Amino acid sequence: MFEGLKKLFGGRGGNGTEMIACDEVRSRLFEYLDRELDQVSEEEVRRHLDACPQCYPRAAFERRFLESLRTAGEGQLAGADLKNRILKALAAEEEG
Amino acid sequence: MDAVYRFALRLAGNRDAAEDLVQDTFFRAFRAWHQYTPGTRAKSWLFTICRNVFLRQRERRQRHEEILVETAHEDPRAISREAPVFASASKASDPEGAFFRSIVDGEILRAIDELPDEYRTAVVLSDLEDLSYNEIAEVMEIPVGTVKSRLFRGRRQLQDRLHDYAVEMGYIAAAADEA
Repeated sequence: MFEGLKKLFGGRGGNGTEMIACDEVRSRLFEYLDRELDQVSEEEVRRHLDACPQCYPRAAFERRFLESLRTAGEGQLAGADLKNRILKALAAEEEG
Repeated sequence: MDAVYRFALRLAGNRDAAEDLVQDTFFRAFRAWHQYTPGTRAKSWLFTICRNVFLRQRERRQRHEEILVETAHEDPRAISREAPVFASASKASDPEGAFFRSIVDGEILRAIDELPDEYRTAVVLSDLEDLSYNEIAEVMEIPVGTVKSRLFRGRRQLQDRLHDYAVEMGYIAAAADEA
């Protein structure tokens, strides 16, 4: 039955090729979002996400989550005092 | 310097300690400049130094204490497991996680700070500083497979905390228990 469902699902991709299973996509999802997959694997996941009503919201959820982490740290900058202190100390080290 | 400061802040946990750590990092980098391989990413190299300095300092401080080392089973099969937080967000009618946008940055950073060390370092290097898995593996001196599993577990723990916070603040409704 699973194979039958897989073929049915593959049909929804619209290009005649067999689609990878949801489990496979879930296991590669972070790597996909982190752009760590090779080109073939990335394309397999993308094609599945385009067609799968279960996995697409899951990917959107993870993407939103990762975005929130990325922006959370952006406001944290080293103060000018710290930068000056280090630059002066390094200059003194070089002279010394 | 901002990136090293951010990383130091997440490692050290407070501003004063982070500033000292950044200063030590740049001193060591300055003295070890001849060891830097041109063409490699300087940011990664500085993160490696920063983490080593931090670990050495911590080791000195905790010489007589037992250091809790994360020894969770690194079972790669666990990566395909369902995330309870996603199931919960789906039931709360927010399957795309829009509630993450309403969570203030301070709360996200606090949740990151509460992660176990090894998860926190992997998450910060990847998600705040945009290092690749290979670069993280080099900084942390662990295999790429371990980077993947630590990122997975760290992110899941973060999601659980942030989801609880979002429910607590009323950004999303608590998911009704399944009958």
